[in-house]
Amino acid sequence: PVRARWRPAQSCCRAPMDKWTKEAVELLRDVEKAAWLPPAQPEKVLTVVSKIVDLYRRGDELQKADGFDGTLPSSVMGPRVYMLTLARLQRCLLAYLRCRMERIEALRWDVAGILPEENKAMLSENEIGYAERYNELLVEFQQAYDLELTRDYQPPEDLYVRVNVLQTIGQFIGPESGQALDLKRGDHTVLRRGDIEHLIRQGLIEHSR
Amino acid sequence: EACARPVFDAARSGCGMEEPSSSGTAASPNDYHALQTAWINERHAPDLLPHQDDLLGRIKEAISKQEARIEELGDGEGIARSLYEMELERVNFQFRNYLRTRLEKISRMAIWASQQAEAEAAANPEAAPSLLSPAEANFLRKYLSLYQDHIDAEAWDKVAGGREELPSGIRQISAVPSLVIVPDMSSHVFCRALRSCEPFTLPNSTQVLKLSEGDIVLLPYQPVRHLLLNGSIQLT
Repeated sequence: PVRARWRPAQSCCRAPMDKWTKEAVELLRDVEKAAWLPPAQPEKVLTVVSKIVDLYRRGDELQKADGFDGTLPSSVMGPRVYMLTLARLQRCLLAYLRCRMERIEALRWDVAGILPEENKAMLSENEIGYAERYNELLVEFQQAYDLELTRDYQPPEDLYVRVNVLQTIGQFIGPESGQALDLKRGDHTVLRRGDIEHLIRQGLIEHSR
Repeated sequence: EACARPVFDAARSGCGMEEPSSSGTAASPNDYHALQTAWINERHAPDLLPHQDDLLGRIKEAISKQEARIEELGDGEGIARSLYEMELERVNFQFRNYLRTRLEKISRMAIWASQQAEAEAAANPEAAPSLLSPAEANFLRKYLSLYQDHIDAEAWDKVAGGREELPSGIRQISAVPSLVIVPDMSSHVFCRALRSCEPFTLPNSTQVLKLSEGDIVLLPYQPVRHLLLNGSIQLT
C-alpha cells in the first residue's frame, strides 16, 4: 500500500488566491524574519507590479465591455473583485517598500554616517540612492540648527566615564571637548562621555566596572 | 534635578562666581524651563505641537555664551567648569531630543503632517506657519518628494508604461490609506494643571471637568489639546 505523503498546510484549496498574492506575501514574510533587511528582490517586486497592472487592465476591460451596467451588482462584481485584489497587492507592496525605507533610516540614525558595506549589499540600487538622499536631508536639517542630532541618545549622567578600549581607533577630535584624542586597544582611561558616546554605540569601547 | 539650581539661575543671583561681562543674555531661567516643558510635552503628545523656533534660537545663543564662559575659566576653577559643562550637557540633551522627537514624528507621519500644514496655511494664509519651523517644513517637503520618487522608481517604473497606465489613485502615496499614519488622538496622557482651567466636557459624556491648579489627571488627548496649546496644562 502507498503511504500518504505529508503535505504542508498550504494545500491546494488556497491556490486560487495565492496565484495573485504569492510574491507579495513572500516579500512581507522575508522582511519580517530578517534581522535588518533581506536582500533586495527586484524580480519579485517586478512580478507584483506586473500583476497589479494586469488586474487593473482586466478590471478596465470588464468595465468597457458591451453590456456593462454600472448600476447592476452583477456587472460591478467582476471589476470590484479585481480592484480589491489590486488594492491588497498595492497595500502589501507599499508596506514592504516602506518597511525597507524605515529600516534604512533607522540604520542611518544608528550608524550616524556611511552605511556599512554588508548592509549596503542588501539594498537595491534605488535604495542606495534613497539612503544617500536621506542622508543629505538630515545633514541639511542639522545645519539649519547647527547641531548634530545623532548624539546624546541617553540622558547624560556623568561628565566623565571610565572605559576600556576594545579596538584601536587612532587619533580623532572629541566632538564634545574639542580635544585631540588617541585611543589604542587595551587602554583604560577616563574620558568625556560626549567624546566617545558614538564609539560605545558602535561597540569599539565599553564601560569598565 | 531639584537639588542643583540651573547655573543660568545662579549666575543671575550672583552666588559668588566671577561673572564676565555680558549677563544680559537673551535667554533667562524661564527659557530653560520653557525648553524642558516643550521637550516633555512633545515627548508625550501623540500629535505634533507648534514649533518653538524663537525659544530654540535664544537657547542656542545661551549655549554659545555658556561655552565662551567655560573657555574663559582659569585652571583653578575646576568645580565651576564641571558645573557649567554638566549643565550644558543637560541642555544639549534636551535640545537634541526635542528636535529628534519632532523629526521622528514628521518622518513617520509625513503625509498627515503635510496635510496639517496645508490646512493651516489654507485657514490662515497671512499668518506665519506655527506648526512646522522653516527647517522642518523644508525637510518635510523634500522627504515627501523623496518618498514618492522612491516608490515610483522602485515599483511603478519597473513595468514599461506602468506610470502612464495606472491611475494616480494607485500610484500616489497620499492616496493610499494604509500609508497615511495618523496620530492616535484618543490615547491617554497624564496632565498637570498649571492654573485653573475653564470647564470642558469629554466626548460622549455629559460630565463636565474643571481642573484647578496642581491637579494631575489621566485623560484622553483630544479633549485637552486646547488646554495644552494655551498653556493651562502640562503633560507629564
